[in-house]
Amino acid sequence: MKIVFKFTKLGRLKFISHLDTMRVLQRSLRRTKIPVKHSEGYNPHPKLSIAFPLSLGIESTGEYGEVELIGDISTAEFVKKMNNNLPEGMNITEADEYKNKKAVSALISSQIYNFSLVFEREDDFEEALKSLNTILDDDYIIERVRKKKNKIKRRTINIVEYISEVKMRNIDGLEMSFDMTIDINESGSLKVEEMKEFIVSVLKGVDRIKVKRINLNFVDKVM
Amino acid sequence: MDINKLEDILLKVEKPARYTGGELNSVVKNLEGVNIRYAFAFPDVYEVGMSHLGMHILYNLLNKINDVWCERVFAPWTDLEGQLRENNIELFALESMDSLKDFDILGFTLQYEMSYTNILNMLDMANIPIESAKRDNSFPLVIAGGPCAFNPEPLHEFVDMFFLGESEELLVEVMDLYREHKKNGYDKNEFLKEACLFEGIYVPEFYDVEYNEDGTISKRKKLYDKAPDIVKKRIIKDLDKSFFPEKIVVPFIETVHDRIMLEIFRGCTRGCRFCQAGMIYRPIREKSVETLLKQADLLIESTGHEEISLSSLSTGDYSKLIELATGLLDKYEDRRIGLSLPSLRLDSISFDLMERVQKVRKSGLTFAPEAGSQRMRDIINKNITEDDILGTVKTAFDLGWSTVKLYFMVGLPGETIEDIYGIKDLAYDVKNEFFNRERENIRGNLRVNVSAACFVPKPFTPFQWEAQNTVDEFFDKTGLLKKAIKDKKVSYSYHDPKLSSIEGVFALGDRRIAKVLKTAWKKGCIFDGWGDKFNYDVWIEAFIESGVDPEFYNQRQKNFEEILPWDFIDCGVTKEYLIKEKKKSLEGTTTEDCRLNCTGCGVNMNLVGGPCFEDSI
Repeated sequence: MKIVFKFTKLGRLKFISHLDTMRVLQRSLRRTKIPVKHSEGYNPHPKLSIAFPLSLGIESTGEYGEVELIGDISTAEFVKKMNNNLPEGMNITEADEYKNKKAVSALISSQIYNFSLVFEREDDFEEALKSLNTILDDDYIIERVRKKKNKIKRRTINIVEYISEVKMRNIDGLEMSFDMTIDINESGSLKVEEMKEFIVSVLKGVDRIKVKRINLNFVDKVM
Repeated sequence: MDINKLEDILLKVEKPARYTGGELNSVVKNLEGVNIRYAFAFPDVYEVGMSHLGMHILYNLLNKINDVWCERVFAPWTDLEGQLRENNIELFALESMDSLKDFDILGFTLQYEMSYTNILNMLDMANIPIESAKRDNSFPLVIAGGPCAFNPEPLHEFVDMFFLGESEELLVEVMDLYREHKKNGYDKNEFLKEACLFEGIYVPEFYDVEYNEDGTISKRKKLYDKAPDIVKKRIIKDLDKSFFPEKIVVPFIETVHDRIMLEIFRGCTRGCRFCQAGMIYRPIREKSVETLLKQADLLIESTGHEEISLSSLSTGDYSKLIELATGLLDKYEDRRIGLSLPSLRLDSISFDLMERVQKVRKSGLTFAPEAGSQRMRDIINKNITEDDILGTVKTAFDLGWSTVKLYFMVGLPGETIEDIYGIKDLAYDVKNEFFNRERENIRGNLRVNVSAACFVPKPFTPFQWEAQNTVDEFFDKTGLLKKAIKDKKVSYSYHDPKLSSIEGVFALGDRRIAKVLKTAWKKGCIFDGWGDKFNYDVWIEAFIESGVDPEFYNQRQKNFEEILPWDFIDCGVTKEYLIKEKKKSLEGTTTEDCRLNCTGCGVNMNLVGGPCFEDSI
């Protein structure tokens, strides 16, 4: 059976890369002794994947993975056994049997990030609150430079085109917290650094900025 | 420490998970119940240090003691070092994130001479004076052990006390002594005076060395009359019952050896004349299959690793290898947990078994003929023939392997040009073995990787009196091979002669080169074992500024009468035996494996107090 699961990556675990995260999941799974299907070939590896890579240094409460098991297990049992074996900071919050033919990763439509901004000056803070309402009104063009072998490839993208929604969550003193929904399409998505650059340049006077991925949206129900 | 500040820094460096701790099975204790804070310090990066079995053993051994908290610290890469220094953050241990200065004891492991500058740098990064004499009672006690401790003198100025041999028992005894002293008001000097009486402990400040006019040692003088004249190494008598961890820390990031290391035996009976490990880890002691299967089981449950590697100096020599390998495969092949058998002679294991090993996880095939000609292999007592090698690779090719690594050394005593070309010939013979099989059996893309290291004479080997080749000689020889090996299927690489030359000085050095080490570090030398960080010119400047001639140490043939800097250490193997072996090497006669016949190295009388193992003669 296939299982889809949602998990967190918090605290010091934000410092481990996508590949390392895979390894942590694989090893935790091996400790549970739940039998897993393996790939064929030269170096067989467990059939386990993470839906959408997370940048190094970013915490998340909404990561998704899928795994193919040999035999059946109740999802409650799967969650319990995994959580007993995952390191601090990683925790499975939800799981379900997965029956869709397409991979979970093929169904992602957008990712939701939470931004927490601290300001030093009150007038900057007030100004930022106002600008936030119109943040998507003007285009914001950046240039992406990619080096491919000896060729330099340049591409311009409009950041605003990728942002489908901005939703205020909380205001506390000189701190504001809002969610941004970032689309994923054929040409990819935004990098966290690009989102940060955009926010800091549109909202003036940001002293500290904290980013967290909170969830992924899917075109079809995955759990 | 300010965690926010550290977070910002960690986002700026490569592989930040090297520094965050919190891995599975790492140990965090409540300071209230802790009497002794110990930092196990590895003077290289996290990925290297975490691959070292000794660290995992001692970390867990110490943490099993209730009031001792052992943490880990590795040499931070230069990017983090820059950030820490810039932000005035002292080097910290991974579990508590506290500065090394807050610890009672720092224990460095000495695996490789070229990591010495990192030791000084790590102390300095925690604002701890590098010189032992400048560290009063308020600073941590700095101790060190490991294979390089068998010539401790180059570090005598920096390390307070050395552990010689295996420390599973000694370390516990020293913790008991330290606890006693701490309770009654710790005084470093008083503590060292008592510690030096333990077998296996060397405290350099209790001795002085005098020199002849020609620079050789004339005598050692004791400055504390109770200190032992000869320091004898410690061994664990019953390895089967000795401590072995049931849990080991599971790194988040990929390390060099990212697997379970199951130690099957200690010591080696082959007696290769260049090999220090083969001498200093004697006698041979095996663990029972029953114990090993139990330990493997516990480690798999507690780590989730996908591979077990059998660890020893020569896997094929384990007397019950087939029983052990079969046992492990029976239990784990269904769970896709692989078995790796490093330094294995394929003739010691059946075809069927090897096939099963390969089914779970393919591993590389590595041979260390060490020398290219039979004449040279006889000189170094590497008792392996060309037929052995070619027979084994043929078997391996038939089993589906197509990549072979061959390790050699250049600059061995008595070497001629023919011996160098022998390396090429052997590599080509291996290639031909692949293609000289039935057409239908030839599968895969053959790669023969030849690697040549530069010979470094090491203490406590029959070659300890040898002069090392000069850097130019090494370059001539490695260059010769580079020109000779011209084949698409055979690749060739060699170790940096300059690095091997400095390594030779530190392997064979005495107290006077401590000054060079300090100078080189002050001039910016760190991570010397890393090719891109090693700076030969700066090292040579450091020798000149310190008034020390490196050639005196590594390029001078010594006679048997000379007092060598490490002669005060008793590693169990007698000097008479080393001399006998050296003389035999000159005649080109070999010495057989001492499992077959005791060759009289002295370990049985000196350390074991009887035969080395059951049925030994």
